[in-house]
Amino acid sequence: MKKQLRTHPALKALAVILALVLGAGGFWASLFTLSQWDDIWTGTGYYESSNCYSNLYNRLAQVRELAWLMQNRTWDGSLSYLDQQRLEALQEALSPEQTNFRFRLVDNATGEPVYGNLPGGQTMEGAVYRVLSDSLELQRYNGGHEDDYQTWDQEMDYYQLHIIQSDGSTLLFLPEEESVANQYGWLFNGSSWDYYEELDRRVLSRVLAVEYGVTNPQTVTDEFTEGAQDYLEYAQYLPGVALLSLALDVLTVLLVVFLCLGAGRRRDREGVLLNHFDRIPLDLLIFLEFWALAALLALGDSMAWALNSGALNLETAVGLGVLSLGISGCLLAFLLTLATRIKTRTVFSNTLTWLLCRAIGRLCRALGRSWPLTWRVVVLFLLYLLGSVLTALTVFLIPVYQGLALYFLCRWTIQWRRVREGAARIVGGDPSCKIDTGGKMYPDLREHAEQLNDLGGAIRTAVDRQLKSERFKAELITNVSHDLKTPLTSIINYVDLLKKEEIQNPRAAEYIEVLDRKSQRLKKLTEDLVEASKASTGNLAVNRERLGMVQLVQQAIGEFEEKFAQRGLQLISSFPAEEAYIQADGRHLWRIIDNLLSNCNKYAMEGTRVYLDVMKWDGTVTLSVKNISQQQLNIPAEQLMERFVRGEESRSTEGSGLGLSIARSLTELQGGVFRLDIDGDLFKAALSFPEDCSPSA
Amino acid sequence: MYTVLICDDDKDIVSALDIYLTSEGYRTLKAYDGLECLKLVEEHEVHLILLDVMMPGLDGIRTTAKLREKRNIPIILLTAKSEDSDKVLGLNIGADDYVTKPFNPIEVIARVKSQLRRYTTLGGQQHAGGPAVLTNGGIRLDDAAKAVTVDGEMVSLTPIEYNILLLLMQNPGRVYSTGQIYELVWNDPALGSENTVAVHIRHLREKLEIDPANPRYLKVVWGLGYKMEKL
Repeated sequence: MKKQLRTHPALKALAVILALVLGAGGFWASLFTLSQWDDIWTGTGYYESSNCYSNLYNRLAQVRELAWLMQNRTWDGSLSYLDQQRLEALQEALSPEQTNFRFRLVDNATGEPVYGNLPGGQTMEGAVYRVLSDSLELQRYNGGHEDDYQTWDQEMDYYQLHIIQSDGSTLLFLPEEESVANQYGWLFNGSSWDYYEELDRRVLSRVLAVEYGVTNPQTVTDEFTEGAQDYLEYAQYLPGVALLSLALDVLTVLLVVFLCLGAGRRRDREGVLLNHFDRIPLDLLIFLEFWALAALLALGDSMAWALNSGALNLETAVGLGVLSLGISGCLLAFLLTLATRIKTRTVFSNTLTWLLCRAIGRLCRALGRSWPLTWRVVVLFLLYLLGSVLTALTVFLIPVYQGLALYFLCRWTIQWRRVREGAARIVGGDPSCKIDTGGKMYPDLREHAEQLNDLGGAIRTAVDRQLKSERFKAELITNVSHDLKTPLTSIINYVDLLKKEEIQNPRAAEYIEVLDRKSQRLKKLTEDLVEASKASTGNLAVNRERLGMVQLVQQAIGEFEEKFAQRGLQLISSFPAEEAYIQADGRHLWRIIDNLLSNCNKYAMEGTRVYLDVMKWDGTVTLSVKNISQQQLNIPAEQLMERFVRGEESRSTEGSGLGLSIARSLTELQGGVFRLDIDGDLFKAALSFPEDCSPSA
Repeated sequence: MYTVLICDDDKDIVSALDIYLTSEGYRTLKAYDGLECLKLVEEHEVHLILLDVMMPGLDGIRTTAKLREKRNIPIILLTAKSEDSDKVLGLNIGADDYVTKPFNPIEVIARVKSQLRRYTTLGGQQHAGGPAVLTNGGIRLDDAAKAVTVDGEMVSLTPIEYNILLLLMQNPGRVYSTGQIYELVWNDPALGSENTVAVHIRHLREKLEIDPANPRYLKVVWGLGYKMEKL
């Protein structure tokens, strides 16, 4: 509702007109009231009013002129014709028949009356409302000491004085003639002459005292009578005018406030809108307003003169009205646009000064951007130094300037910290973290922060994709293993059933034997494949606990001893004196050792030795398995650990080729290091784990 | 004559198991999903159930849970999943044993026999035959007679194997390292001769367990020692 009112176009227009009219009226009423302020409130009547005093002052000026003319006549003996005329006119104007003004001129030194317009027998005190007094100093130079000069007498070692007389002739004075020179105001001080004006008889001077006042009651008609009449007339209106002016002013202020609140708002639109006038740069507008007001006031000056000189006539009234409307219009327009600008926060931004500063700033920044960073720092530092030198000249500016420099440094540091913390969070595993580049960030830092944000985004996308693919892989492994295992179960079972059938054909029995072997191999292969996939994708739960490597190897030896013995392999083991503890998952670790020892069992040359060594060294526990290969190892160690890769000749034997791959993946999954070395036919595998040095539980 | 219910969605597997079990002298019932299985259990007297885990409709785990609401029949799960968590879930829900696919038919038969013996002959109860008799699951050790039976079948052990078993049976669940076992069984300080313990344990396991690679009773705690799983 309020907004509706404020934005109503007709209401707004009415408010503008009212504000202008009331404003102009209020201005004049206030001006009048203020000019009569003392009269209203002191209420002492016409004789104490400003009009009376200003009339008295004007009359005093006439008295001064009169006194001056009369004194000149005394000094010169006569007056020029024009001066004589003037004197007579003044005497006429100041005669008691012409004016209520009364005055008396007295010689200030002697108290002897000089001139006056008091009718005979009257005293000043008796004749006037109040006696005012003033002093009047009359002075004239005949010739002047300015032309007198002194010359240096070398022989006598003193200055000679030369006095220029009014007829142009020069008098020369020696120190002996000082008494005569005194009359001209010169005194000898031993070597030169000093001037004293009060001794100079060429200077004519007289001081008169003036007593003046206005008769009460008034006897003739003059400006005092008119003033008194006006005063009586206006005095009755004054309280009313004062109230009116107050009311007009208050109303105007209210209207202006109303308009300011509604400024920039339109009925059918949201927010504050700028019109063309509001878009003029503010400093330019102030400049224009200033000259417009100056022109209007200059115009008003001539009208005010007309008003002063004559009575209030129609033309002047209309002129003044138009003038006041113009001035208040200018002021109102300025106030309204200022209100709109404040609302849209464009007071400073929409100024020529601001635009100029911004353009310079942009130019500097554009220049700066094309420079290398080092250059910029150097230039900035030089500018800082220059500023330091300049401000060092004023004690006051040093803390301000250095404080400002410190502020910018701190701001930079804070923003830099923000960027660093953001980067740390991105690196620390929160790639979705965004560095806040809002606020006034330094462009270089912002660029850096945005790059980091992009990097974080890219990392997050990659991580998401990776996660999705991992999950997909895990599901695939589970499903594939199920789908492979179910038919395999049937194959194994039916092959087994076939074996139990009575088959006469020996070749058929042989075929069944092959089927049996291969299906068992397929079973092993499937299990290894699943295991390898899980280990290499990390889809395995690892329950790490403290366990003894020596214990585990001993258990493993127990499992394999007989198998090795069957193949004629001799197992030689060495352990450290004390148990070597590590953090690992026992079942996974067993699987690794199981794979390694199975490999030995499968591929080691018969009748050789297999070495199993557990070593504790420099905080790591290492288990090494060494054996001599039956076949030539003609592929590099790295490749042996790849999935499905085996020694060339071992393809035909049982095994999946996944053993070493699984062993490596599982070792790495538990935080260990798996290493293979091949030296001729010597095959060497080593797993290292950090030693768990915590005291045994 | 015992009745075994075979339940798997793969018909070939069901019929293969049927052949094996029939040749061993069991009567068989066939079901191809969980609901059918539940129905057959209601209708017939069933002594043991071989139950596949991954089945359409009602899967093996939920079927087990339903069966266990009323019945005490031994259930052996057939599972293609070799995840430990799946096994633990199956056993916790009430299954008595599990076999992972692809399985060896002989192993399945052995497990069926073992479970049936415990269910019928032993009634699934612990026989405490006096202070000298120790039992754990299907294992019964009579210290007076120096005799060990697994699911009622006599097992012949060497004196060292017997002593190791006795030690482990006395404290089921406790883990003994090879050194400790050596010192307690041989009554000698263990000075690098612990290797023999592992060999004896393996022999013991081969005699006690159906599948020595996945022992039920005598478990290897890799890197720490050996223990008798308390059942």
